[in-house]
Amino acid sequence: MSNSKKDLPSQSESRSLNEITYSPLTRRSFLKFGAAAATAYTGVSLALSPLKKFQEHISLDEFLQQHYERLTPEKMQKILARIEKEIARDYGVTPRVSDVKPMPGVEYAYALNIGKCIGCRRCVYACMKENNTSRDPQIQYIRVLQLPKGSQDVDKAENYYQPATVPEKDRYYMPVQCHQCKNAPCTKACPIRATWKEPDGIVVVDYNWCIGCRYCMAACPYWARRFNFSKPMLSKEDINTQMAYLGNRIRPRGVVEKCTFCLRRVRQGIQPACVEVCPTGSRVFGNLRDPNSPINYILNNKRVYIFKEEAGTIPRFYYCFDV
Amino acid sequence: MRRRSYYPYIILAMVCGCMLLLYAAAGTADEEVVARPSSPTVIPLPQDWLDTTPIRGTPKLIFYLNQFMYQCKVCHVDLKAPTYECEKNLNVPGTFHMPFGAHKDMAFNHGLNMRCFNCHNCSNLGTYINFDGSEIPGDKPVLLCRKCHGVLYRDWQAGIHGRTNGYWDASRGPQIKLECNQCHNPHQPHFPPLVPRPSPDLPRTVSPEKGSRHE
Repeated sequence: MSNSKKDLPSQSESRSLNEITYSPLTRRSFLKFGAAAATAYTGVSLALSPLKKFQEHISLDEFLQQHYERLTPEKMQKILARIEKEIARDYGVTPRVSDVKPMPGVEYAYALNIGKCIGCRRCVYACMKENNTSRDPQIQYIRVLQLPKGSQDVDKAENYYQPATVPEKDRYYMPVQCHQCKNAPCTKACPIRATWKEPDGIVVVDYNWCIGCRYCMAACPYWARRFNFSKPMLSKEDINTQMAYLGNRIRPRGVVEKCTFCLRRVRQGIQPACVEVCPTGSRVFGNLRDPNSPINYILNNKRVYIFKEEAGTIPRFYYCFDV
Repeated sequence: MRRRSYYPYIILAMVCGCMLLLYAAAGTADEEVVARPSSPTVIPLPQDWLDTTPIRGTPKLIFYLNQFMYQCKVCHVDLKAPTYECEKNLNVPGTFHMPFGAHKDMAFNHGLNMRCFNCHNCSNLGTYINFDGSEIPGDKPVLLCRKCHGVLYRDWQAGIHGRTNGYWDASRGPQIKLECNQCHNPHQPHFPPLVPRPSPDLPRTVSPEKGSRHE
């Protein structure tokens, strides 16, 4: 009984099927379809409307930008011009953003004499100035640890010390910044190769490629990477207008940044900002491949130790002391 | 007879076109963005925080380095230089003979080296004296200090004692190497204590009262 009903469609059903198949465009069907289309359009446009806000953070050019290592010089020029425009728009300065390339035959290394460092934090603020790091929320690349003498236990370290004068009695100071490791865990942790080692040994971040997952921050044993939780806040007169693409240009929101040995300066041959400002001369920077460089003199003649050597990172940053 | 109507397709195409236009408008047109305020509230870092003048870069020292130094001869042409008897009490305040308040601002704390004429040349007060009695020019204090501090002199020559400003490689550009007395006061050479710059801001999750940390 039920079978026969299924096999033989009723007359009304077949007519409605007919109408759907052959219907000419009547006024009614036009209105019906028009109303449905208008609803669909409104719905879709509402669903896409967050894209308009998204545009404040990222433009289409930036969204479609290639990885740094795939860029041709012409494309790079366009990108630099775009970044200059964006910084000029947001901060009211006229910056000069350049893409400085590594020098051939140069590998950088850094030594810090913890016997001489008095923990005055002048390096910290010179670094902020050179690298245009955010003032609010504050981002500092160098963390000066105050440790009790006779201990290397960083759990006992204090980096919020604020006495009237430094050095304090029975304390020594160990500034920690990016060690530019040869076996860098951060570059391995990055899922999209937004951070990598340059031929001169500097570990850099392509701020336009970074997706802000912060895996590298978790991987770094030296706590050297910083995250831009909000758009960097700098006052107009405080901005260093000489900027480098991989180095000290003002970062966008939501990307990771780090010490680059003042890439813009050192690739032009100039000392990093922290070296230039250190009143005690604890900091020495130089070319590892030049046998007569001061850095090689330290490695050959001084007592040198590597922070967290057991992590196997093989840093380019050495701590030394006079004996 | 089947008559196919194209209106639904046209309408669909129009809707798709509108969506595409909307999407493109969301992506491009960065000229239309209203300029955001350029963060005027942040206080800039004081300019003198970035100063690279050496720690003893006082006007007096700059005078000295430019050889406008106090000419010892001006006073000591008639007055005798202090004798050994005077020098004995050098570190006892008030007993050291200082006519007209000369050298009163000096404090002496150079270890066992408490004799003026270990370094100063008593026959020519503008210069220094070497072990063999030969003169060391007044503008080359490094040569004087190396008399005793040979190890440090070697380090300084290698570029690892004292700061080097300018280029990191001398073959690439000019370097400014600081000399001994630009950081150390020769009469009390221990490096002076300094006022530290402010500590970093506490993380927003940490209250300054409790000083709480993880664990």
